[in-house]
Amino acid sequence: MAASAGGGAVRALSQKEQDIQMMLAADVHLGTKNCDFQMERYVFKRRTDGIYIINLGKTWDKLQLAARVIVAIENPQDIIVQSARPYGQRAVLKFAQYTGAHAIAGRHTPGTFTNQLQTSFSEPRLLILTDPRTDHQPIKESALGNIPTIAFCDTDSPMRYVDIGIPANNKGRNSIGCLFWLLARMVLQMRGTILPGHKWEVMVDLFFYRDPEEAKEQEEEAAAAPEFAAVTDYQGADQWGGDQWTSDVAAPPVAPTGADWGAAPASVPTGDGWDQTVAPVPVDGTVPPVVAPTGWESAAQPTAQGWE
Amino acid sequence: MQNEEGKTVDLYVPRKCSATNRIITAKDHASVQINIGHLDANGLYDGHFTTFALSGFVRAQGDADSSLDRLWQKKKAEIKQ
Repeated sequence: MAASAGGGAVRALSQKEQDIQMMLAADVHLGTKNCDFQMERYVFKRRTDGIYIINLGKTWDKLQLAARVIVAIENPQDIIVQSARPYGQRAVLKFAQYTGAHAIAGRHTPGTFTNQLQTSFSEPRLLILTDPRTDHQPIKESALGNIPTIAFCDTDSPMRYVDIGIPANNKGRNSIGCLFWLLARMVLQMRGTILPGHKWEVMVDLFFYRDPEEAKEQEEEAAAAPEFAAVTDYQGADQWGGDQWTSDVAAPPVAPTGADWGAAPASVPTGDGWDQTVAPVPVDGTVPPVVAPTGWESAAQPTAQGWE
Repeated sequence: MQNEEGKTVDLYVPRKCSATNRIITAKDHASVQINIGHLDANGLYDGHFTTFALSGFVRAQGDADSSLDRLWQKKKAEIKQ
């Protein structure tokens, strides 16, 4: 039995060490400069600049305890996960998605747990919060409705009406996402969704908050393809402009044609003069008319060509 | 309460706070009852749980967290969890 217990301890310890390393990377251990007297038992030490360091071993134990309480509730829909601060909204939504809980990401409407006239009224069996100071309204309402509360508490968080306080840094985006990811994975492992010894494929990055500017940058990167298409359109416009320029080149031949057409009226008066010469001399007039039609025809043909 | 024969004559027996032994009255809306699930050797939830009741007085003082920790540590040692 001792050997088997040792084996279990080694495996659990290994998993615990990995989780604690992840928490260290996410800066979960950094508290604040103030310390509530009820959070003193979670403090490891104080840095020279006055910031309290949280003992991550106790954080992991409290996460396990919270996961036990969550898994003991038969209907996951009776659990409400709440975060009014923007950093925890994505983590809360993802946690609710993977565990089946109900997420309230955003402002808590006063009266949600007490005023049954409201459309969003619900009576949860468990309430999970990101910060007792920011989410003070749901804590007050849980005190009026016999609702147990789990909260991520910083070193200076008030502990009134908090039943399970998980000591953690709840002011960093990586920290909040990492904590919710760990809690979700522990719940799924205890339920059996994740088989023991297997890893959870969902990345912890999914639980991190993303700035709207970050999303906008990605949208701009996606818009890069339309910009390339726009450049192609511009080249097409250049080609079209070139065609127009070719049309301009065709314009000069039209001008000489116009000149030839201008010359034609000059020949017409000459014809009239010739007719006057024909009137005095009939015989001579007969021969000139033969020549005149020939000149007229030759003159007419070039004019027609020019006109065409 | 019990009569002289030792039988319980009350219809409603209120719960008691696990931390301070205070009576949880019917009008104590701040009191809670927390079920902590038990796990088997593989770390899976086996359907059983330990129940702790905390009165509103304890929670209002902010001692619910430390009380629950103390109670669970003792119970965990008892039931080999």
